[in-house]
Amino acid sequence: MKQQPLREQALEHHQLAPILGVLVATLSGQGFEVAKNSLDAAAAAHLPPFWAGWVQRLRQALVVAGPQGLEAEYVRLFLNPRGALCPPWEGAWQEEPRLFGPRHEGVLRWARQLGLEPREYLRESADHVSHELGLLGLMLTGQVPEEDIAAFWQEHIASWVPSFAAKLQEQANAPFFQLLGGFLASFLEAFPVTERCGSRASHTRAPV
Amino acid sequence: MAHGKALTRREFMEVAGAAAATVAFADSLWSKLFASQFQPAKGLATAQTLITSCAICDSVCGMRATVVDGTLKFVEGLPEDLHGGGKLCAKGKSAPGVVYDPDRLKYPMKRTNPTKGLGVDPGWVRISWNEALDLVANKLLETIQNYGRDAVLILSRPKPDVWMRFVNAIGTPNRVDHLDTCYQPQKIVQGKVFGARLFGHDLNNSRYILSFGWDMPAKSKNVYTWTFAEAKRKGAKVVFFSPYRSATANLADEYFPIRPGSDLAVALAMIKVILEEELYDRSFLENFTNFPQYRDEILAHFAPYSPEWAAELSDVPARDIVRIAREFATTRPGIVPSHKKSLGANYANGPALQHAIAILNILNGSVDRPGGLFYQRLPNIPSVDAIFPPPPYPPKNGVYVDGKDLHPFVKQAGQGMWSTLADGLLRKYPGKIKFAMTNLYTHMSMPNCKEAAQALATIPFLVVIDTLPNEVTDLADVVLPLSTWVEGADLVPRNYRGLYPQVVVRQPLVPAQYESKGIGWIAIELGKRAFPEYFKKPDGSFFTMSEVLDEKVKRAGIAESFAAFRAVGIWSDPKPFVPKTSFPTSDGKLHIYVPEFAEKGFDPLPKWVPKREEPSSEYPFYLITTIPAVHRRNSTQNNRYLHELMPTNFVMIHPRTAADLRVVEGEVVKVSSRVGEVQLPVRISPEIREDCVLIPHGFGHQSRLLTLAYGKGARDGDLIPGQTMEEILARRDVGGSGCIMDAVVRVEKLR
Repeated sequence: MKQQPLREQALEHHQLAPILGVLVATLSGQGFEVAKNSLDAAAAAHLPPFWAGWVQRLRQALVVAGPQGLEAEYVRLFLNPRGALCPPWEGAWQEEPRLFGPRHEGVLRWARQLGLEPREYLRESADHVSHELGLLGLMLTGQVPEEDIAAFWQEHIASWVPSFAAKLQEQANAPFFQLLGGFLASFLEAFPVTERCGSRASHTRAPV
Repeated sequence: MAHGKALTRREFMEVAGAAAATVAFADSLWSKLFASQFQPAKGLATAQTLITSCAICDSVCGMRATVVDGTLKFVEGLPEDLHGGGKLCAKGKSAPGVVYDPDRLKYPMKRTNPTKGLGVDPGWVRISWNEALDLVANKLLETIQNYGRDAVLILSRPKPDVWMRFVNAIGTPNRVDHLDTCYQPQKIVQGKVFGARLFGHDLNNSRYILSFGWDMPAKSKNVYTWTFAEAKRKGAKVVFFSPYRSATANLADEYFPIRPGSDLAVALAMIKVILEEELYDRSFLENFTNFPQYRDEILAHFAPYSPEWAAELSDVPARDIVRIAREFATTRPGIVPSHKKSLGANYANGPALQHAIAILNILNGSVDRPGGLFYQRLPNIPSVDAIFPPPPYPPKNGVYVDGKDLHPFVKQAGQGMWSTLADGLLRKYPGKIKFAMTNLYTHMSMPNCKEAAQALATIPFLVVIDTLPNEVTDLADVVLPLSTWVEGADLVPRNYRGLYPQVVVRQPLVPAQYESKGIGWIAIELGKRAFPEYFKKPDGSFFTMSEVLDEKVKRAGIAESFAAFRAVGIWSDPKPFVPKTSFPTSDGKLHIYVPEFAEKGFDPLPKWVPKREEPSSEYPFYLITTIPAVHRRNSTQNNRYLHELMPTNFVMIHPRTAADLRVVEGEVVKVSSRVGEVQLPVRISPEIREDCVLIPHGFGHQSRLLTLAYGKGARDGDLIPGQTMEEILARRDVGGSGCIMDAVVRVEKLR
């Protein structure tokens, strides 16, 4: 069973938006300004001290990295030059790694169930970490039955995002991305649904 | 969904296609970012069937693709297609692996690490397309201004036409491609003998297929695979010469393990037999060729090439040479296929062999007749230059770094020269080239690819346009991510089996992924910045790719617009095949004797010359290279489906060689030539001659960015020497052969 999150990590639903904003903005690679805006918004959101501390450390690290440092590290970690050290797609973490394969289709089915479809120009496959977190955020803030949120968590997030967060902390050279990995791991631990769902043993493999 | 069990709520929702819950995009950052990728559904998930053309090889087979909810699921053959005939090869079937390769180049990037080298991290950062295009165009103009147009090198095939407009506007004489290692000799020789390069092989109506190393039915091109199979089914006789027993050999009625490079001797002796015994199609020769005009020269020329002489060189018994010559000449229609990548065509004497093969086809009387080589009947699709006429292009003056200006026919063909490029860049004109662009090319396909990489590394500014991060990407200053053919749009005529005009559409099965763009768009955008006057319409505005495609389909009479053609997918004009009685040469006759060759100091008739290198005590084996059936040269090794079928290569040796070396199956050995060495596991097989070793081409990728292909196998190109244009001229090689089958090697057991 998953460890209960620490009391200070606990999050209310309304506190999720700024945290998801940071995660989606940084992991989708929107660049320095968008990352900075997301952290500024989170800093202004009166988060509990545990999370406010994370946000402050991330802001400092972002300034240290600078636009070019952030970009170079993003490319190095997620976009395959030198070998995609930390692939941001669920499909890449399967026994048979595959982009736009069954994991992509699985997320698309969930999107359809929520009344959404991919735009014609979907820049990344649907199982990109930023898409999965975005979808999770929509489910949490919308009128979605808890059993569905729990099922999505189990089918997609729990199966690989914790491993992704660990890999990110391990592979990042820039303190910003090391912190981001830790921030994501804490978010996963604190996420309200985990208390109800527990976690299942991960059957994914870390990409080599 | 499980049977015999009530539907879960979620399964019900999926079946019903209803939204199980409502969500709304809030006014938060993450929500906005998410909304840029997903939108409220307008309906159910859709499944579409779209017609398109493959582009993995030049067979460009027609396909029906199934796309579900925006994802390409699978492709099938298009039965109406003249090329594929409703069939696809493994490569075509792997289309989803092309577009969904995780290693694709996804965004324009520039290097931040000024230190360049293979294996050195360029420190990539993503940049916008505008920044990338401005950077490239400015650097290009600066190079032209400071060093001249000939300081620009373009490594690219001469297509599509919109890209060539950009290349022509640059005005450099230095556009170089791989064709000297491919069909350039055929193009040059057939261009003079037939007046055109004949793609068409009507194999399925042939009664006799006489083949010099042409393993096409077994490997590369679907258009040849199924028509060859059809010929066999209808009872055609197949005779095959090759130093190793390929799949084609196993399908042949007679197979001869010929000595490498001696195909020409056998062909010359066969011509002698047919001429002296007057077994040729007399009426065809008298009416449609220059045989009557040069009869005496021709008979005298071939007289010395006796079957006994050829047998000595080739290990094919003289009596078989005579018998097969007689059979072939009198079994009509017969065909001697000749295509790029056939073993015989890629020796130093390949151009002479191409000439001899052309003559054998003429002697059979089958040229442009059912069952023979034929001129493709093409639709009349205007080029972009016909649609939007450009101002005059600048003349291509200055230094030709590959030396093609020294060779009249190579210069005229305007292709090549992979094999002489490194010599030019490193020794003849070091420092000449200041700016280069690659378009879907790497040094892996060049002879002596290690030296070729060193040569490319001398170029101060390199732009790589590609779908995948190939080895040359490490040297790039700017990377422009190309969309794959699965995402592309074009009109694709059936030119290999154009029995009548037919066009299949190429259309985006999915939108271009990430920020990749098509080569036409890149050409226009670079053109607008560097040479705007070449990319304007008469009204002064810039033309677009959609306008070009619309005009092409309209003016060719195919459809009202490209969109209308996309909906239909295939267009045919099934006119009856009327055999030609006049041919596109200077006098309308087929030229057995080629006066133009003589005028320029080359042999007007094919003359025996040996291959470039013969085994010696130091390098006792012939090196044979081949392209496996399931890969396209060196471009598909990272495709997950094809990688699964063949992930790596090997060196094939004969059991006696294995015994001499005391090596066992799978043991890694060292193979070396005068230019390099590789290590590979052995595959021991009696299907190869004792004096040969075989290494399949395409493996040994050294780009760490190719997750599947990196480090698998070794490059045959590391063993194949390059050459100089002077060497080509010294052997009076009319076709400028790249000599990729001419290496000799040593094999050693590792200690």
